[in-house]
Amino acid sequence: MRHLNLMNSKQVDLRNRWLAAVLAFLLPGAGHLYQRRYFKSAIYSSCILGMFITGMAMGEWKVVYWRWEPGGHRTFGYLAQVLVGLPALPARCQAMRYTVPPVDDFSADGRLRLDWIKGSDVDGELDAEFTGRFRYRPDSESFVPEAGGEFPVEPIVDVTGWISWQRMDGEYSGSFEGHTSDGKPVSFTLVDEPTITPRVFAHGEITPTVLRRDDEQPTREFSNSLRYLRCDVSDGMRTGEIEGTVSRPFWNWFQVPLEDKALEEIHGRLGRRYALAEVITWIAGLLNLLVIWDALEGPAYGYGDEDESTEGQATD
Amino acid sequence: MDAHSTWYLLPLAIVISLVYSTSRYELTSKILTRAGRMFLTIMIFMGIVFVVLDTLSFWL
Repeated sequence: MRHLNLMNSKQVDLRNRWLAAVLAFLLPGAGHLYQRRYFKSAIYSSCILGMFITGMAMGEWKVVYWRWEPGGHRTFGYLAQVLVGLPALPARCQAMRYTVPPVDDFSADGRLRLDWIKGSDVDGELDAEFTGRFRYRPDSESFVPEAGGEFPVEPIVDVTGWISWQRMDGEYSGSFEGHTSDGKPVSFTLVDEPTITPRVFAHGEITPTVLRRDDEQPTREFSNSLRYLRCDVSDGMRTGEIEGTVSRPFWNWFQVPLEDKALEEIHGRLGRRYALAEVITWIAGLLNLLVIWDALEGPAYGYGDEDESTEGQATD
Repeated sequence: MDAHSTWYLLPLAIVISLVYSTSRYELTSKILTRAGRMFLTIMIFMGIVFVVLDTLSFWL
């Protein structure tokens, strides 16, 4: 420590070192930029931010989040990630915005049911572009059981358009205006409460489960930027249902806590790559501790023009 | 971990060496020299560990 103070006070102008330390915490390299140590600033910002962003990208931007449940899932790694400062701090904010869907909907074995996430936290109001499918319900009036036939199977058609609804006094009212894949315009009114994945959510399932075609592979799809949506609709004469997705803005999924089901899916798909991405972000955060310390106290060996024997003693 | 993941060691070692040396020294030339030396040390050490583990796992 004696050696450390000797070197720094003489040769390095730390300016307001506490301010520099705070800046170094908030953004790697910013503290040294303030101290006019430009080379160091460039090294720190490029190495640490580059490393942190690389880690996040490798984990599909779902590596950094804060979740702290007593006796449950706890992201200890975030304690290292947060040392990077601003790039990791939104996770704390997102953890507050995120609300856990109601526990009543758990299935008997304690695992998350498929529709548990899909059907929770319905927005009181929505106005968004919809992409998905539509199918009429079987027309019961034209069906004559005595004839010995079966309910006619209505075809599934792809639709895109604009869906909007609002909730008043617990009732949902809204409409869907769009067109089918062959350009035919369609217009429906909503007749029931929609089913939609939560607004603030990191990684939700979007697999069509109701309007599935016979030749379709049963692969499950997850997305951060899309929300699953299903709703009963009517065109005034017949009822049907639409199922598809609407978009989710960046700030409603970025660094939002991940559900166990989502983690399982990511681990299954990315494998050890996800674990490696986590480790890279941890290392980036821990390295920034050195940067904060350097901004606060200066380098251990000053300008490096001291004699080697002194340096050796300090190392010991 | 698959074989390709091992290559992540290179950029990781470079970044760790650079940041550590930068936090210890102030002169640019000194930082780069020390970082290079530290990088080599890490690579040699990891190489030895790799050879030892590979040898031990030969009989498994």
